[in-house]
Amino acid sequence: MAIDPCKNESLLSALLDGELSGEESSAIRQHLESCPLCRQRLEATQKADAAVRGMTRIEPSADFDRVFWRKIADLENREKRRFRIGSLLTGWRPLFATGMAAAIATAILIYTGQNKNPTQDEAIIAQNIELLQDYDIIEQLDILEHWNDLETIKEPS
Amino acid sequence: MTTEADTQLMLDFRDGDQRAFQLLFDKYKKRVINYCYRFCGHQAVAEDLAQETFLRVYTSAPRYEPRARFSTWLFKIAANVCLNEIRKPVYRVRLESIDQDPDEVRDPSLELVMEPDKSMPDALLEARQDQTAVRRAMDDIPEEQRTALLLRATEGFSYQEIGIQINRSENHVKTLIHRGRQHLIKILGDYWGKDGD
Repeated sequence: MAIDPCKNESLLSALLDGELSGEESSAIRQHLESCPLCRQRLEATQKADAAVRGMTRIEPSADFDRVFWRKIADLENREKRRFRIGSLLTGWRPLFATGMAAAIATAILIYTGQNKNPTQDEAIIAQNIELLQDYDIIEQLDILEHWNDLETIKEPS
Repeated sequence: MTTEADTQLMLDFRDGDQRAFQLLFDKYKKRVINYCYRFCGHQAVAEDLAQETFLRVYTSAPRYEPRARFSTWLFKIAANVCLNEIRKPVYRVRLESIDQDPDEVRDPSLELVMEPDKSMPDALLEARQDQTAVRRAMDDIPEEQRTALLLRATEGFSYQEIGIQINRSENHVKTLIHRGRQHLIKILGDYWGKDGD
């Protein structure tokens, strides 16, 4: 592939940054000897790069270190608190607590199971059956009420 | 200290030597602050970002594995911290509030542009005005181009290292740097033209 900075200007940036192989660099330098436009572009690139490298440098403020190490201390304190809470969730304590909770739940279930009154359900069922029987009787009574009329209809005159 | 020594210091810190972290902090803090400052242009913000960078180094120690130079890894963190900050919606609000704070330490060159000191030698005044022009041009460059350009021009990382730092291929890094420079040339061209350069 031909190395042509006229078609690929980024090659000039790469040349400036020393990112080309020896062969590529030689090819571009040869091209520059006969191309004023590329030489102009390279100069502009160098100038832009120098401008960036020459940007203002600052000194750290007087309390930069103090503020930073305070942040580290705060971070470590938070980690210690998290560790203390985390330790409550590991080891023998949670196992003991789980066992106790299971034992208490089992005791509650057994207690409520024994105290259940079997006659309550039966009473409800019996009441429903009684009501149903009453309904049947009432239906039969309707028929009996009109029985005389039925007999009159049956006997031929 | 050589770069291999820096990696060893970080490994020592990982293994419990707090003094090793102090040495790395002292060695690199000014460089990281200045990288952040050149990225964002405000000292207070730059120092916050630099502290955030070192906090991440501190908390990452247990997982540290040297896959590159220590400085490559350190500036990878710094670059990410700066990019994450600038992409926050509150970043512009923060900059505006800083600009309105009379106690905020600004870039001295900005002060001179606003109120030129006539007693100052012309050469110094001109240098300060150049700084202002470059600062404003940098603020105008897209953040990824700005990142790649700073890592190359001010920190001297290779395209390969910058690729590691910003998760891009070497070719992409080459393009970013080239476009960043082109952007600067375009913005500063008029300014340089007025100077007669």
